[in-house]
Amino acid sequence: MIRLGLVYLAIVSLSVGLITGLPFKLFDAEPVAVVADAPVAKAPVQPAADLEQMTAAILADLGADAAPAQAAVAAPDAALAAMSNAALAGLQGLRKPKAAQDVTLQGLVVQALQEGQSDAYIDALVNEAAGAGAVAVPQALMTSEGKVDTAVLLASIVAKAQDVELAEGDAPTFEATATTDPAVAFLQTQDMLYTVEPGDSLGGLALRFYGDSGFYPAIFAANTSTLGAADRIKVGQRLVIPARDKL
Amino acid sequence: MLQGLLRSCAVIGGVLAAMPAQAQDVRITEDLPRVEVLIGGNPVVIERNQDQTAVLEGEFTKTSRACPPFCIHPMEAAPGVETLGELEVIAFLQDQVAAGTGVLMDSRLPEWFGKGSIPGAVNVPFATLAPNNPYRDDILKALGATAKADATLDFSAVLEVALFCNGPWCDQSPRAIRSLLDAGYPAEKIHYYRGGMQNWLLMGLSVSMPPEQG
Repeated sequence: MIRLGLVYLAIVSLSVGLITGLPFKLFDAEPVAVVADAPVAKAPVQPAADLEQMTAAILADLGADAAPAQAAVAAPDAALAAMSNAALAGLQGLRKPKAAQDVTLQGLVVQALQEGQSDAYIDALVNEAAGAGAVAVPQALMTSEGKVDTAVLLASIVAKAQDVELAEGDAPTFEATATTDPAVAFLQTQDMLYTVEPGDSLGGLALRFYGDSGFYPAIFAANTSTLGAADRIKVGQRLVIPARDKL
Repeated sequence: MLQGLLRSCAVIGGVLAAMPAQAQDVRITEDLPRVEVLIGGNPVVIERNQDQTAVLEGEFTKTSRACPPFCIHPMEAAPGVETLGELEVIAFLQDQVAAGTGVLMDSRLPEWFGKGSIPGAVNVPFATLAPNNPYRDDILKALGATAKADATLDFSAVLEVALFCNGPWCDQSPRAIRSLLDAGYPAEKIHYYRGGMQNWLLMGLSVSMPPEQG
């Protein structure tokens, strides 16, 4: 019985490993050795919740403490994000000659910043481009009103710029807005329920609660049944904000 | 009479001399020595390896990968989904992909795409089409799906897609096809190149490598 459970655990771990692509990172130096086990995942790709429940049930059978593998939330999303972005870039490359400059949201904003434009100007520029379909806007930056959350976009650019400065040895000057938010202390070890207000976006919520808009996949993953295929969040939706120690 | 013969020989000789110096003994079909297509503004060339002694080496020569998971797949991936051979894939590239109405998708993970793929193919790993990918809808929209008022997707104007992976024993493109069908993609716009990289290489056909990322 335990042996069977161990076999199940091995199969599940292998599937999770293959789905997340971890073995490729580990075996990067020896591509030939990997090939035999390579690219085909054994089990069908299942929603994360089912996988976690199955793992928990197996662990429970084995008598271990059934701690759900919340760590799986960040890793698959990062790999999926990278693969999806590359796929989107490839699909976009089919339509226009590769030599042409692809207009990206970040490119528009950076150029406007270099020209010294105001935040209000950038907000108008970005929303006009998005409305005309000239740029692709990630779902996380779409507010409940259907506008681009320029504030979050600018904040993430500032944060990246700060990271570069820190790497060069400067003293950190960026203060995460989250540290002054009373909700954040509560959020350290407990999930929170948050009701979407006008103007909110997934990226903005991640910035507010986690100090980094890049954590929005965690919020999305905790609310797939509510958010589903929607391209933006809606006012009044009650979203689970996962505890910070689960990130 | 002799003069006429000499004149015709000169004409034929002139014509032959004007033809490309490379003799293509290993053609794709009798009428098709090689193919040049313009995809996304870039010229893509597909021809066969002209070395008649060439053989495959390495991973794509294996005959007996463990099944499960590397089982032989049926000819039909799903009802309504057309199965393609090499010539049909080439025609798909020349017609639909060059015209911008079709996409050839490599369903393998990026590490495999990086080792070589069919020229003109885009890497859309099977995992990105699975329902648990929050970015899946962005990809479906890039393929021509549009969002309706009730937040579901409209597939009436989507591109034609042809999917492949490593070979008839590879599950990734069949899985990607199933994901597309489950999402609502019309079956008549999905095509399955069952032969995959293994059969493509076995025909000595051109392989493309993605450009080095800076």
